Amino acid sequence: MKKSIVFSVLILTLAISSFTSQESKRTLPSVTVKTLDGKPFDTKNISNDGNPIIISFWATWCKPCIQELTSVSEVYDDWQEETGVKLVAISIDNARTSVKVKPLVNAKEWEYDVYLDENGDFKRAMGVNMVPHTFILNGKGEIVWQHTTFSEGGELDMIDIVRKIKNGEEIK
Amino acid sequence: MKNIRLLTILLTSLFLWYSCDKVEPPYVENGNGGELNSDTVRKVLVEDFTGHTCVNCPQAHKIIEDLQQHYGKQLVAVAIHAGFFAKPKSAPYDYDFRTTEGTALYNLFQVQATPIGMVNRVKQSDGGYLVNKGALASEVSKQLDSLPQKPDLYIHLTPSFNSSDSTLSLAAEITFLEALPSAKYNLCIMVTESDIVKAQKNNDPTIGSTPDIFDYHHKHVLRGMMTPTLGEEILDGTPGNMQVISKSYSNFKFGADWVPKNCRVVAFVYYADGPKKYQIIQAQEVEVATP
Amino acid sequence: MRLRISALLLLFLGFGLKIKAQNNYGSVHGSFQFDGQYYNEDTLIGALRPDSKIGANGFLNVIYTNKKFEAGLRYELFMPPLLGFDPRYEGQGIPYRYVKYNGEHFELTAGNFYEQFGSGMILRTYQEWNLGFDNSIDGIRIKAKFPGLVLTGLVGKQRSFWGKGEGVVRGVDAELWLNDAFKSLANMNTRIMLGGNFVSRYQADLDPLYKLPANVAAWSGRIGIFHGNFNFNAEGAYKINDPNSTNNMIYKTGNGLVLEAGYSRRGLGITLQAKRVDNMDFRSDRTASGFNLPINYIPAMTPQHAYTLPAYYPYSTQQNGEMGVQANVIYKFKKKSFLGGKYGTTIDMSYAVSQAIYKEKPNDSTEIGEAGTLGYKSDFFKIGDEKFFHDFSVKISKKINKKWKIYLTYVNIFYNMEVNQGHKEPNVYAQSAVVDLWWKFKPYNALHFDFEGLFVKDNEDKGDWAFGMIEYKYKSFFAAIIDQYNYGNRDPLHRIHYFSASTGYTWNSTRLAVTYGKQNSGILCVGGVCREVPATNGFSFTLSSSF
Repeated sequence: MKKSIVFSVLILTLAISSFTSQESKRTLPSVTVKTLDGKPFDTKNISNDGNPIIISFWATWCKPCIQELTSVSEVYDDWQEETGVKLVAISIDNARTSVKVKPLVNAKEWEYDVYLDENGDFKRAMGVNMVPHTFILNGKGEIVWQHTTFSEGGELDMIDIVRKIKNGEEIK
Repeated sequence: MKNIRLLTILLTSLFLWYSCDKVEPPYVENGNGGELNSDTVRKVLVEDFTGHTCVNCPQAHKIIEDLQQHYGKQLVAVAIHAGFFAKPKSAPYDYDFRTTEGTALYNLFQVQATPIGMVNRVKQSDGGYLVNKGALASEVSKQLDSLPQKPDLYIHLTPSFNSSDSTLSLAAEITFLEALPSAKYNLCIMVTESDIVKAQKNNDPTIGSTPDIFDYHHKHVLRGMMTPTLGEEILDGTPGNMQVISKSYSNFKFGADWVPKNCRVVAFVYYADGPKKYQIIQAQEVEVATP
Repeated sequence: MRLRISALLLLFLGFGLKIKAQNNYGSVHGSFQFDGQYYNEDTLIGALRPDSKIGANGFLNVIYTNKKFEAGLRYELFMPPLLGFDPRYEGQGIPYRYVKYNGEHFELTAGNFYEQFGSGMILRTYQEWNLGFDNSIDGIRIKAKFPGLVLTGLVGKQRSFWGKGEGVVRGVDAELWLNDAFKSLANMNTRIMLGGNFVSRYQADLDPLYKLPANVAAWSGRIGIFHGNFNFNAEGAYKINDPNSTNNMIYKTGNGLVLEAGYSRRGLGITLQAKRVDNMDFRSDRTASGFNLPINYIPAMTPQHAYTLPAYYPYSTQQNGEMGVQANVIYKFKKKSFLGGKYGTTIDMSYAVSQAIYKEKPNDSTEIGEAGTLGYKSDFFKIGDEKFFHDFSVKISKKINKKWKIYLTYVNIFYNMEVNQGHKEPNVYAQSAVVDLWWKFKPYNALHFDFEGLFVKDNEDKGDWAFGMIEYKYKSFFAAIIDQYNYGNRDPLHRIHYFSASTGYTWNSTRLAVTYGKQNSGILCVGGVCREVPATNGFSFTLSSSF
C-alpha cells in the first residue's frame, strides 16, 4: 500500500514537472553509436559549429518517423541556408531491420547525418520511450526542446524553435 | 600501446580460464534402479499437470518415467489431467480424465499451460510452485540426493478393497521420525490408476507416432481423493519424538470403469502453514488390490 | 530497504527539479510510462475478464549524470500485468539499477546493463517494454576503448522476472577497425572491420538422468568491408554441446552463419542477406523456454510490416534449425520522370524465404532429435524439405500533390502453421493489399485513411479479413475509428467486427492515448520467439513522458 502511494506521488510530481518545467539544460550523454559504415561514433562529438542541432530518433518500421524526416527533407536546404541547422537522425532499428537503413536513406536522398543505435543505448540514455522523438539543441549543445509523435505541419514547430535559438531567444 | 598489450594478455588469460565442457558419450547416468531394501526411505511426490490433447505432454511423461527408473520407489508420481488440454473433445478424445480435485489444484497453483509439474510442492525462485519439464530432473535430485536418505516421517498404508461394492477403505499410520517444527500438518490421500489405454496427442516422433498415439498407456492418472483437495489436518503443533498418528477412511467409491488392480493409493504429509507452506515432507504409495 | 530506495529516488528528483545549473550537482532526467486496461468479458471473441478486472503496467526510469559518473534505476509495476504479458511479472520493485564510470579509455558498469556483441548471434541483452521483454545482465562490464579497437568483458546473471536466471554468463568481445588502428592503413579506400567474441555459461549439473556440460561456450567471428557504395558483412558462430529444453536434450553442437551484401547510392538501395542457423538456442538456464532468459538474439530475416493485416502472420525464427535468404530493392523514380510524377515515387520490393535445414539420423539406432543422443547430422549446404515462410512485398509511396499522399502495399505470404504456431493446422497462403491515403485538407489538419485486406486461400485459419481506419490529426491531437472485420471466417457466428475508437494528445514530450473497443488476438514476437496475446474488449490508456 505504502509503495503505491510513494509511486503515485512520484508520478504526479513528474507529470507536473514535465508540464511546467523548462528543459533542464542538459547536454548530450556520451554513448557509442555506429555510422552507416558501421564505424563507432561517440554522441558527445555531435556538433554543428555553434549552430542549432535537431536530433530525431526514428526507425524504418515507424511510418510517422519517415513522414517527419521526409517533410523536413523537402525544406532542409532552405532551413540550412537560413539558420545553419543540422539534423542528426538516430535509427533505433535493431539487427533485424538495421540493414535496411542505409538503402532507405540513400533511396530517399536524405542529406542528414544518420547513425545506428542498434541496441538502444542512446535511446535509453536520452529517455526516449517511443519514436518519433525529436530533440533540439542550442548553439551550446544544450537540449532546449523535445517532442514526441509527429503530425502534419510538425516541422513548422521545429523551424520555429530553431529560429528562436538563432535570435538568442529563451525557449519555454 | 603497452596498455593494450597488457589488457589483451589479461583478457586472453581470462578467456582461457573459462573451460568449455565437451561431454563424451554415454550421455546418460546410471541410478540405483530402485534396488532399495527398506521402505523407510525419503520419497518425493512429482505432480504432472497434463492433458490428452496436449502435444508436448508425452515428453514430460517420458522424463518422469526415466526418473522412476532411476530412483525406483523413491519417486511417487501423479498425473493431474486438468485445464484446456484435458477437456473432452470429439472422439477419440472424448474421455473425461478430469477430477474436481485436480481442477482445484490446477487453479490453486495458477497453472497457465501444460505440461508443467511440481516436485514436493517446493516453492521456486520465482515465487510459484511450478517446475517446467526441463527442470524436473534436477529438482527431484535436489530433493533426493542432497537430503538424508532417512525420511523425516513415515506413512504406513493399509488399503482394503471391497470388490462387491467397489469401495476402498484405508488405514493410514504416520510416524514422526525426526524433530520437526511446530506447524499445522495435513495428510492427503489420492487414488491413481495406470494403464488406462486411450488416445494421446503427441508431437515427438522419438516417443511415439504423431500427431496421435491411439493406444497410449496413461500412467498414474489422478482418479480422486479420499480426503478433501487440501487434505485433512493431522497435527497442529510440535510432533513428539516417534509420535504416531492414525487416520482411517472408508467407503471411497471407485468409478465403474476403473480397474482396481491398476490402482494405487498415494499419500503425503505437508506443511499447511508457515514459511514452508505446501511443501511435502514425505510421500507414500501402495497398490490397492493385492493380486 | 524498499523505502530507502524510494527516499533516494525522491532525493534525486529534488536535485533535478530544484537545481537548474548543472555544473556542480549533475543532472537528473528520465522517462516514465503507464499502461492501464479495463476488461470486459466477451465470449464471442474469446476475451476474458480477469478477477482483478483491470491490468496496470508502469515504469519510471531515472538517470543521474555528473561529469564521468552515471547512476540510474528503473522502478517497474505490474499490478496485475496486462493480459498478454507473462503473469510471473506480477508485483513491483526495482529490477534495474546501475552505476557507471565513463572515462576516456575505460568504462566500467556495475549493476544491470544491456550489451550486444556483433549482430547479437551469441550475445544480446536488451529491453522492449511494450513486448514485456527484458533480459538484462546484472553484474560487471568493462570496456577498453583505443583508436580503432574496442574490448569488452562482462560477467553476471540475467534478469528473470523478479529474480535471476540460474546460469552465470561471462564473455569477451573485441572489435578492430584496421583503418583506425594501423596508421599505414589510414588512407586505404576500403574500410575493414574485424571482430570476435567468446561467451560461456556456467550452470551446475544437478540432473540425475544426463551428464550435462556445466560450462557451455559459444564464440563467433565477424568481418565488415565497406568500399564506396558497397558493403559486405559476415558473422559465423559456433556453440559446443548444449542439451537444453528447446532442443530436447541433444548433444549436437550448434552453428550459425549470416551474410549480408549491400549497394546503395542516391536514389537506389539494394541488399542481399543469407542466414543459416543450426541448434543456436542459447540461454542462461538450460531449462528455460519462450521469452525467458535468452543470451543471444537471432532475428527473423523477414520484412517488418507497419500495417495490421500484412503483419497478421509474423514469422517465428527457428533458432534450432532454419536457413533463408532475403533480397530488398528500394528505388526512387526521379521527379518529372514518367513513373516519378511531379514529386518522385519510391518503390520498395523485397522477397524473403525461410526453409528447414537438412537433418538425418546420427546413426542407425537413433531417431532424429532423440533425447540424450547427438540428435542428428546436418549437411551444411543441403536444404531441408519443409518450407517455413515466404514473404514477397511491394510498397509504393507517392506524393500526388500538395494535399494528397498515397502509399500502396501488396504482400504475398506463405505461413507454415505448425512450425510458426505449434498447431497442426493447414498451412496458410495469403495475400494482403493496403491503400494508405493522407489528405492534408487545411494547414495542420490531416485526414488519414487506411484500408487493408487479407485474402486467405481456401479460407484456412480464420479466413479473410478487412481493415479500415479513419484518423483525424490536428497538430498534437488525433482521433481515430477502426474496424477489423473477419468477413471470411468459415464459421458464420465468428464473422465479427472488431470496432474500436481511440484518441490522444501530445504535450511536448508527454503523450496520452485512450482506446475503447474490441481488440483481436494477435501474435507477439521477440527475436524469434512468438507468444499469443489474447483478444480483449474494454478500455485502455497509455501515458508516456520524458523529463
